[in-house]
Amino acid sequence: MMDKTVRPKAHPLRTVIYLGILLGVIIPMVPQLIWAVSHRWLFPAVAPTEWSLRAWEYIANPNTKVLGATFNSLWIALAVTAISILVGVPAGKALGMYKFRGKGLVELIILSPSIIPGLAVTMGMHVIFIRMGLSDTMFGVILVHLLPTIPYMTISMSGVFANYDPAFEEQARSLGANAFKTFFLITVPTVVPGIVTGAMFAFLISWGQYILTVIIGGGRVITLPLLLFSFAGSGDFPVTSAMSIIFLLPSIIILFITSKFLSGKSSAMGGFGNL
Amino acid sequence: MINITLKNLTKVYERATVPAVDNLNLEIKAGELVAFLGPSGCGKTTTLKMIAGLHPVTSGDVLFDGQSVKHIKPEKREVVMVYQNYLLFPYMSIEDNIGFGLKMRRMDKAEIQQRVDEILSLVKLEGFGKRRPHELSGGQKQRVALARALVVRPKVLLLDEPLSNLDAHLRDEMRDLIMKIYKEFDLTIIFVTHDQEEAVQLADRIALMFDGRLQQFSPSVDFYERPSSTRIASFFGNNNHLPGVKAGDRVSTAAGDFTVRNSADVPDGNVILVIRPESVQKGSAGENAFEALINRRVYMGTYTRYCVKMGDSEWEVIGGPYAEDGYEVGKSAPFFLPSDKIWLLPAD
Repeated sequence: MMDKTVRPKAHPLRTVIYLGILLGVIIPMVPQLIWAVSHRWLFPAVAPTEWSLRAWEYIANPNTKVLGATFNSLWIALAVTAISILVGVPAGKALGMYKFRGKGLVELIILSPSIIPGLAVTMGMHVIFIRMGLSDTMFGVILVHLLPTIPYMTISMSGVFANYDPAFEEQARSLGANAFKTFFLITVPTVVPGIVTGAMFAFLISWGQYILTVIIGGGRVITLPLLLFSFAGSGDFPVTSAMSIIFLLPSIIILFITSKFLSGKSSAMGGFGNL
Repeated sequence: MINITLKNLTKVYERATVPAVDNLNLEIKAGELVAFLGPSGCGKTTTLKMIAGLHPVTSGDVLFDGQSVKHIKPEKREVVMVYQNYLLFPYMSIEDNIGFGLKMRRMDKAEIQQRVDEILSLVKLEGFGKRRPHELSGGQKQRVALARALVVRPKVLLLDEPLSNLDAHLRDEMRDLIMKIYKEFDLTIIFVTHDQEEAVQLADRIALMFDGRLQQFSPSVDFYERPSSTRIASFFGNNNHLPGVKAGDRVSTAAGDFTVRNSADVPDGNVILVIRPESVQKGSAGENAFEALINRRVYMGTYTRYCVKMGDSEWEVIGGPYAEDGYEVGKSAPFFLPSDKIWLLPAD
């Protein structure tokens, strides 16, 4: 009797939430999935009257800009994520674990990009970027994407580190783990899930960025959201649908990974299981 | 079992102006249960961490069986520390938590399992092995933390405030468990506490620290009967102090002249007379009788507490539980001080 882990019974609200997700998120995507493989689907018809893979051929064709834009988005998002980790992890550690003079001010400065509308800031930045030769470049776009991602990364890391007690490392040492084992068995499992979660969201923020890319990229740096937006206006539903599926793919993958990380009761560590 | 010697042990933290631990000298015998007692910030936990090797020593030395361990890493010292807030690794099961130290010692899985099961039954947590720390109560977590430390069979067990996070009834249980462990395992145990009752109830000897300095290191009875300063007496709840002048075996004070014994080594001159509230007697049928004004009295059921005027200060007297004894507030009443219960301190 003692061996059984007590599991809470599924809350009735859970069913309601699942239904809500189904209705609000998944069902609206169904027409897109169908559109992406159809050729003709006129109003009264329940299903497309003609099927085709034209949209996918269009996307795969290197002469169209779609593949290029997808890779642009990917490289930009990866670079933004990497820089966000490099800046956000130490900054978050400082904010989460140490007390220092002017900490409140630093927190305010870090939060300020989320308080002031990004558009307003970016307009100003654009002028400076032109002067510095950064506008219309991939590097400029990466820099402007850091505007929302670094605060996000820093704040989420400060939460991870605020819950982190360095005494765990002392405890491991005292129990006989050397410094190397302590780092990999104690420090890493405690902090890494938080970093991974933060990084994935930083990736998504950059991946989905439209307005900042348009202003700083000046139409020369083409990313997937930019292309998607122009196709959505063109009325070519199959191609738009196929592109939006690609656009959604990282979000879906990341949702699955993070839901694993975020399950488990104690902060972000649940997913690691037994070590 | 090993004995531990602290020699001129000093710790000065970075950017600190005063040392956290200041020139500490003491010797803990093999197999002794010692309490480091003191108010928070007195350096007791810092001392514990220096013994564990978790904090570097600024100067001085820590010796195990006469050998310096200053350069031995914490994981090699065979000293395990149990923290106040348990610090169970949250992403590991109870079994894996307890087995952690054995795994670090590269023991094989079957043996780890066997030792983990043994220790789980010792701390009365059979069947909890597969659970996660967050599913346990505070008392259970404390027991797991203790089991995790004991399972590696350390020579020294260090406990940081082992009872302070527990409810009153769990505290008794944990105290009994610590005593049981102390008797069953060949261990030298040092624990840190700010609560003098905990120290008195558990420890063979108490090392009292104030402001990073050792004040007194002796069996608990000495802190009550033979405190080495008025501050120590006050820390142990004895505020019955009275300045006086000693000449031979007589001390004259503002509240009268008293005969003293057991104080030949205190030189004549200015002294402070100290006596426990329980040692002051009601009535006039003994030596050192005097009259004192009763300022307050509180009936406590099993005893009565009186506050009486003694010179410029106020003394506490613990008397019998009898409510109708005529010792009324605002009246002078007779008391006497048994001469062998009076403790003298040189005035500074």
